[in-house]
Amino acid sequence: MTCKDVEILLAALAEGVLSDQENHAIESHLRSCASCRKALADLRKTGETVKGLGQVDPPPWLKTRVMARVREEAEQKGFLRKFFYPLHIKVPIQALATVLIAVVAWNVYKTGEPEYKQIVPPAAVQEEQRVKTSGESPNIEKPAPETKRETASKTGISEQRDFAPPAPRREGQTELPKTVIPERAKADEAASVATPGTPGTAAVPVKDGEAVGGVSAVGPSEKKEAMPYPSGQPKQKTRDAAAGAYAAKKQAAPAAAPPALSKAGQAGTAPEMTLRVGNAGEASDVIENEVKRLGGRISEKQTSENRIILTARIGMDRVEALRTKIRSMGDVRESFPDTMRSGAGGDIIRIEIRQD
Amino acid sequence: MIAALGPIIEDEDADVVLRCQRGETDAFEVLVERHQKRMLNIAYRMLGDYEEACDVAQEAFLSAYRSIRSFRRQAKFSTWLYGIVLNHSKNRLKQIAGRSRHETRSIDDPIELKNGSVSRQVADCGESAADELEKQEMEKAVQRCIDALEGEYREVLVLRDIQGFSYEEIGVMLKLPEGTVKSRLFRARAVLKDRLVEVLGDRL
Repeated sequence: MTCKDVEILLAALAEGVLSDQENHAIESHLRSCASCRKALADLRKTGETVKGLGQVDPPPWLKTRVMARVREEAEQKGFLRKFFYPLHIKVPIQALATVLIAVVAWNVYKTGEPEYKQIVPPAAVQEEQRVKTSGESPNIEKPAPETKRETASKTGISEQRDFAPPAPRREGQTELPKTVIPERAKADEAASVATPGTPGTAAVPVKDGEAVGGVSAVGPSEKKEAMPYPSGQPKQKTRDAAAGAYAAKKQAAPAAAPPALSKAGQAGTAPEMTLRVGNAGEASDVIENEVKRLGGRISEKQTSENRIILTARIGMDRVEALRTKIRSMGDVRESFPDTMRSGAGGDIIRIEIRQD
Repeated sequence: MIAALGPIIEDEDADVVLRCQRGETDAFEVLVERHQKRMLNIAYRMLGDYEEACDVAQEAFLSAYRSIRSFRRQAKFSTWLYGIVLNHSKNRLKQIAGRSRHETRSIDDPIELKNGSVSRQVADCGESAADELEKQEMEKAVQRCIDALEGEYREVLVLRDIQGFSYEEIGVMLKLPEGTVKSRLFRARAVLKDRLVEVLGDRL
């Protein structure tokens, strides 16, 4: 064993990690080698010296500073954790933002829709119309206004239902089979019965008394009974009923709703559009100009207190453009028959402008 | 003196650590109080500078606080904590080394030799110097010799011979197998012995 080998093992000697064989070899070498004995002695002294090194004491401010920074950080962390903790908040914020953008985009699209339609040049609309009609299946045309009506406001739908039933009743002047009366009409009838009677309705005391509790209290049997009223009676009552307000208006101006128009949707009747606007006179002027611009003419104009009724004659291929224009002006209800009635000057369209 | 700093048998910090992990900031003060001296001494022996050591100990405590939730009790808290201060010390040494390359050298800086570096400042040989003064000078010289050791030798020497940690604890702190810790330690002792003999001569 050389001095070099021993020197490497000397440091381990004190640790007691050497085998007996190694210990013996080192001891025998040390007996014969003075320099290795000195090396071992120096190593022991080094160990003692290092272990004898003093400890330094921490300054009093160390703990204070550490805790000041820890508390500062704890406050910040508490705040940040609430708002920006990566896993719990970031993702929801992003998801929320995505949803928000989608909602805003949808709203922009929806509110912008009428404008988009206006932007489309009339020629294109006419072209589209021609393509539709050339197929000679007028039924294809029907879904358009129907769909439009469906997407309109709830009141629009209910009013449309109110719109049709009164006419047959007035015409027939007799009891109607209850199967053909729309659900809504039934409800209206019931509602009218439920309304506290006016002096003129004293003739039906039983119904008034029973149904005062409200529409919901009206049973099916009552509805059945409500039907056979003489035509004059329900008319009078419907006028008083809030639910039947629209129907009442309709009946108050018989000239505005000739029987033929009330049968809208049947073959051979004139198409009709009802427009609700803030200023009927202004709207009428716009429509008249538009009809003229589209090569048609106004054959008749009836003016009453809050409404103007225009009868327009316009080329079949221009009808769609006119409809588009009127739709863009306000709340519109349309009733277009399957086959358009052609007059001498083209198609006849009745446009009723109501001032709200 | 070293005996008092011997290995801790059970983790007395467990409860306090749990309180910290639940968000009790004040509980951390207990841990700082308990461990600041050892933290500072590890940093001091690694860096050889009191001011730097205070700074590093402070940073180490702060970074322990930040990651205390990730402490999983696989080791004793103290072992985990001292591992942090050791890493901070090593990083600081790198920074200092980077800085000193651009700074003018002090005449007291160790001289770089082929077989390592040696402190240039030699202790006063005056016979009349007071014992206390001599002891201080002696300590300074020893510290300089420690400072001159390569990083991997220095840390094992500081942890084992100065701080008295077990091989197992040192292995956890340095993420090294015990065998490696031992062989590094023996090599570190041999190198340090040579340096001390060179610097102190007969006074060792």
